[in-house]
Order: sequence, then C-alpha cells, then structure tokens
Amino acid sequence: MARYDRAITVFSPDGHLFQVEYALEAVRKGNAAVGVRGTDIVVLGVEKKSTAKLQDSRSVRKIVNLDDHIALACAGLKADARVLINRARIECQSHRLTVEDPVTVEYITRYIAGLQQKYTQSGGVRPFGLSTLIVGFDPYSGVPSLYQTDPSGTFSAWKANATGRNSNSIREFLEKNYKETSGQETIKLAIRALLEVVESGGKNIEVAVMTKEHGLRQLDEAEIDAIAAEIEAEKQAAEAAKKAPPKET
Amino acid sequence: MECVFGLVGNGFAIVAADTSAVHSILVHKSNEDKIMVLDSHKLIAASGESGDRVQFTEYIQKNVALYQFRNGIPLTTAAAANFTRGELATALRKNPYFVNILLAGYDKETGPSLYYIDYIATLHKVDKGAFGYGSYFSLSMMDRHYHSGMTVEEAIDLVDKCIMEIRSRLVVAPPNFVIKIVDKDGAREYAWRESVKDAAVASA
Repeated sequence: MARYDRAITVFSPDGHLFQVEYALEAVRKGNAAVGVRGTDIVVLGVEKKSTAKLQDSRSVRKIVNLDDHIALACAGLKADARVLINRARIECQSHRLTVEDPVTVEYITRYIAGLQQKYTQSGGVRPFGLSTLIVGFDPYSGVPSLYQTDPSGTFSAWKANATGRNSNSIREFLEKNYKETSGQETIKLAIRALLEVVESGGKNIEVAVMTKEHGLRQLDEAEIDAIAAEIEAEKQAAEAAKKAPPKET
Repeated sequence: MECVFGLVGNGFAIVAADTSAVHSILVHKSNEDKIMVLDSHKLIAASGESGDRVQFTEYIQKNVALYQFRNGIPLTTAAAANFTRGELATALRKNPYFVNILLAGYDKETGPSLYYIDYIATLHKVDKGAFGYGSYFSLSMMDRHYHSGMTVEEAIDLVDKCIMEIRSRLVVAPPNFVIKIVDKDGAREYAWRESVKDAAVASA
C-alpha cells in the first residue's frame, strides 16, 4: 500500500486514490461544520475550538461569503480553504462581468468541485484538504440551496448535512430530526445538531444565517447563548415529561 | 458631444451626465445612463468611446466588489480612484481605453470627494470638474457660481444653470441629462432633466 500513496496520479491495484482518501482523513480531523436548509433561510454552524487568549477572534472567520447571496463554511485545512475561497470569489465576480448575472449556488459549487478535482489529476500537486458546505439563494427564483463538496471533487445538494469532526453523529441526528422548517426553527435545528458534538455555549460555535433579503448575518454570542438556553430548556422539559407521567393505580 | 460634469457640496457630491448614445450622425437612444453606481457610496460618471465606457466601468465595478469580499471592508474613494487610474495607465501604451471619468464618493472619515480621471490616466482630486465640449460652458458656470459647502438645493440650481447653458450654447447639444448624488446615505439617482422624451407611436 505504501507504494501507491506517493504520487497522486497513481491508482492503487484495488482502485483507490490514496492521496484523496488521506485528504478525507484530514477533513475528518477538522472542526465540525453543519448546514441546514429551510424554506426561506439557510443556516451554517461551525465549531470554534477554544481561541487562544491573546488571539483576536475577529480575525478568524470560519463562515465567509463568496458573493452577496452565497456563503461557505468548511472543514479541514484552513490554508487550503483561503486559496479555494479566493478563487471562488474571483469566479463570482468574473461570472457577473461576462454574463451580467450573479452565479447560481449550483454553478459556483460545480466550479469549486471542479477545482478540487483538477488537483486530484495533476502531477506534483496534492488535493485540497477540505470539504465545503455552500449555501445560498438562486438569484432569480429565490429558492434556497445547500451543497457539499469534498476533496475528490464530488458535489451534491442536501437538505441538511455535516462535515468535519463527528460528522457521522451529527448527520444521524439530522436524519432523525429533520423536517421542513423556516426562520428561527431552522436556526434552532442547526444549533441543536452542532451541540450534539460540541460543548454547549456561544463561545464554542459560530453560526451564520442567510436570508434572501438580508444576505449573510453572523449571529453574536449572546444570540447563540439564548437559543442554546432555549434548546436546553426544551430538552429538560422533554426529559421531565418522559420520567413522570402520572401513575395511575 | 458627451457632457459630464460634477461638483462637491456640503456632505455630498453630485454628478450629471447627458444621456444620448450617438453613432456618427445617428442618435441610438436618448436615455442611456452613463453614471454607474460603483458600490453603495460611489458613482462613476463616464464619457467617451461607448464600448470602452461600459467595458471599463463594469470591470472596475467588479474588481471593487471583489476587494470588498476579500477584505471585508469597502475601498475608500481615493483608493478606488487610484485603482481606476492605474488600470488606465497600464493599458495606455498597449491598448488604451478612451474613457473619461468623474468618480464621486462619500467616505465616513473624510466626507465627499470628486476625482477627475481622463483617458490618458491623469488623476486629480477636485471640487468641480467636467469633460467634453460641454465643459467649456459648465466649467465657466461653476467657476462663477460655485462656493464650497453648497447645499443640495444650491448645487442642483447650479447644475440646472450648467444644463441650460449647454442646451442653449452647444451646437449639437444633448437633450436629456441624468443627475445622481452620493452622500452619507449612499449613491442614488437624483433626477432626470428631459427636454425630449422618446416619441410615442403616432396614430395614423
């Protein structure tokens, strides 16, 4: 096996591209990120590993916008993310310049995935070590979308998804609890999913919300804490209801 | 034949441009908007070769937007003006753009400003400026009546005086003008001055 992971262009005898799989490992070590699509809103949440005391946390933004109506969160190598995000931002403006239309979410996802794929089929380069969650609204129909890409260059649309650390448990939670929601309910669902694997508190998660009218809005710590408290209260109420149904003798 | 002029007032900057799109002796349309909203607080009034005008200003607009996404804050008016001038200068000795630009903007820290950028990449920060044959008349009018710290009403009055002058004294005077303003609340259209509306289809 060791002989087939040196150069990216080499398939292993059993059909694996080891560099791509190792890149997926890097993603699995990255911070948890979750995305949920509602009927009129899309929510992205990212785990924030505790910031160093001397670090200015405002300079570490994990959810970024690519254009007025498109945002991205990712898990994996942050330096690779910077390069990919920069290329995507240029493409968004370039598209507007050449066809006088903003990009659709699918177009820019396809572009990013295409870029990730290119680096799995060239000599002397390694794949990008990140998976992205891309959200946005179609510029004309106003339909919200959520897409995911990974280091192999595949992409697909999702109603809700997670990537990074413990993404399997988050996805299981979402599969059990997903329903069509809108507005505040969607935000709550995203935060609930993230809190499955992250310590509770506004300090440990970064949440951003995108609507058609107002674009991307980062939630501040106080807001996240308030919603987390609501969720906690609902959980307590559910437990209490389960434990103490009136005993009929 | 294309007339573009502008001035800086008290907490705002105003630019006016004619709205005729001309090809040799034919007027294609008389409601062509030549003042582009560069971003929330900047206006570019451009005159010159019509293909270059649109191509160049759209290119500047998209690059200004890209800067904002990359850096999280918008360019200042001065930075945008210098960027524009740099692009003109780079292309000058290879493939020059024939576009004259008045760039008006409002910055929170420094207030309103107006930049004169001509097609050979001259850059001047000015209180009032003008391009085209109309400049002979509008600059003279502004030299006579302009003073710093004008109110919007006074400035519009002066703009109207200039338009009057152009209409009455320029042999092939453009009939319609558009006026746009930029202040702390952003860049927006202020008014049109039309003396010729597109004729409705005459009944037989």
